[in-house]
Amino acid sequence: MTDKIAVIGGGITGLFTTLYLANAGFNVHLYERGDIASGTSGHFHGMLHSGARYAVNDEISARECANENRIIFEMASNFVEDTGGYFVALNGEEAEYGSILSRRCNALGILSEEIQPEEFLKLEPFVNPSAQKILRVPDRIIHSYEFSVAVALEALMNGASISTNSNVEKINVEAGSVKGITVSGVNGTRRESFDYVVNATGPYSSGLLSRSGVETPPLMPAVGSMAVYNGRFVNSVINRMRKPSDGDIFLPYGEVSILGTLATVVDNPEEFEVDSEDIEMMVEEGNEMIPALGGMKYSRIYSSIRPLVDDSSKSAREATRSFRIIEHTEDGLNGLVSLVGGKFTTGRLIGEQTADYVTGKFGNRDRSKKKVDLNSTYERFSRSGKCRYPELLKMLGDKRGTIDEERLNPALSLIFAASICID
Amino acid sequence: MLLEGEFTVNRPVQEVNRYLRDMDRIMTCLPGLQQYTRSGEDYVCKIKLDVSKAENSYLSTLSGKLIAKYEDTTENMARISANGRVAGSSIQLIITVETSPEGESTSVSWSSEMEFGLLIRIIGESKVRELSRLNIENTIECIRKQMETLQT
Repeated sequence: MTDKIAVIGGGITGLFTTLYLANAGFNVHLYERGDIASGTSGHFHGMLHSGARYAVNDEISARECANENRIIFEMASNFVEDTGGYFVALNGEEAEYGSILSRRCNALGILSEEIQPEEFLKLEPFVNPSAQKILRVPDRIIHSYEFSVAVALEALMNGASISTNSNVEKINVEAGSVKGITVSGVNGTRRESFDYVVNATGPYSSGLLSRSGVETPPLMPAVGSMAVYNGRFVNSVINRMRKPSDGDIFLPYGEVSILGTLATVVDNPEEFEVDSEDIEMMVEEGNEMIPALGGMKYSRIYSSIRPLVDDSSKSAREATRSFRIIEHTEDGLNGLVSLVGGKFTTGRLIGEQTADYVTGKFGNRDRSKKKVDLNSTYERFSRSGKCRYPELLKMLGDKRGTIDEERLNPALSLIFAASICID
Repeated sequence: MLLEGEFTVNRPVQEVNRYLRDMDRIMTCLPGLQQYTRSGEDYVCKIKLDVSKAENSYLSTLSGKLIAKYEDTTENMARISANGRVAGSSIQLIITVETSPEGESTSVSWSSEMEFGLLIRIIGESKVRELSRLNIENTIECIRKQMETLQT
């Protein structure tokens, strides 16, 4: 084997896998059928979990999220709003759950503090005034696209190649070993040779793997849907104090507010529609938490397939319970791993563990443990000469100091994302 | 998945039969019931189904709506169906209860079926079976307790 690796899928997991493999000195190329973070990573609720949401029912996810929350904030605080979060009990049963939640947070090292409802309602006047018990936790908000583009740029500056708008149609297999991929883009369809392929398409794996004649990992076709409301109704992440359920997260994201999440089951992850009656159920739950929403209509709904993994899988190499790095050797195929499960908050961790795993397969190198600083990535990329649109960069620079400076900041991500597309 | 069983309640059969026609009371035994409204013969129920046994951090409880109604009743038998959607998947619960006098007491035999539709794909067949059994047993136990506490 040489060291040529393809990563398929430009969501947060594929991006971090690419970055860490590039850091290890591999010749790594990422393929994404749309733009960076255009799948599930661009369609979640935006919360950088503190772990508290899972503290009662999923200790492993809670620990992973708590660690990743700290690590990501340290490496990429420019893309994170450190709003904090609150769990809100609206009745006695939820307040009782809050006592368990508080104990579990303490046991797992997740900072939590009970505050008085009167004090809380001064901070969050739109929350239901009948709130009985409030727990403060270190939830944060992460700006998905800007953060994801930063990871892509960092990978690029560390030697990786990235092709967006490039659909991997098939993983090419010969005599039980991966030989490469067949990919189609604006310049047509071509075959590329690789020694190893990381399938980071998550919930969209089924089509690619079945076209390649590879057994599909045990995925569960669940959709998560969110409702967007114009305006910032809250200043922090508001969680309902109960077991994770529909319509119990509400948070500010840029200039809008997002209500999540509605879980629904679908037949086909590539083509689905969420029933308006189901959406209304989530909205009713949201209205209980934020009564002001009852008098208005959400502006839009967005949905995505969640990368849920079937826990009954026997072929999985169990990295943790919340995600799987699945080797296909048991199906008689060498040179392919599929990543399933996880959350946006744990995407970095999955990428890191995948890079460690793949590095171990090659056996002749150690993955670089050098610290990643995404806060300076945009600035370094600007100076690198790799931006394809310097005239747009200059236009954006000229807007500094004007009334629109902040509003135009996200445009930088688009300019840079357009710069990294190599078909 | 079909479950069946029987029990005896220490109340006269007439009282038990009267109870079986009191949907407002029976409704409170439906699994995960949050609230309900009556619309003609239909009872529109908002439910939250506890699926925490599926051990998936995203999916501890699932929201849905069911419409419950009597399908068939005779003097000694009541059949209630509840059809609707939970998490976008169709779901169905049918409970049939038959009574017969046993001196001053009443012998009650029941059968119940619960179908989870597409939910089986995210929860898994074995866990769905467990959930069905748990929900049905809880429902029947609730009905039994209500029968035991009937006022003369």
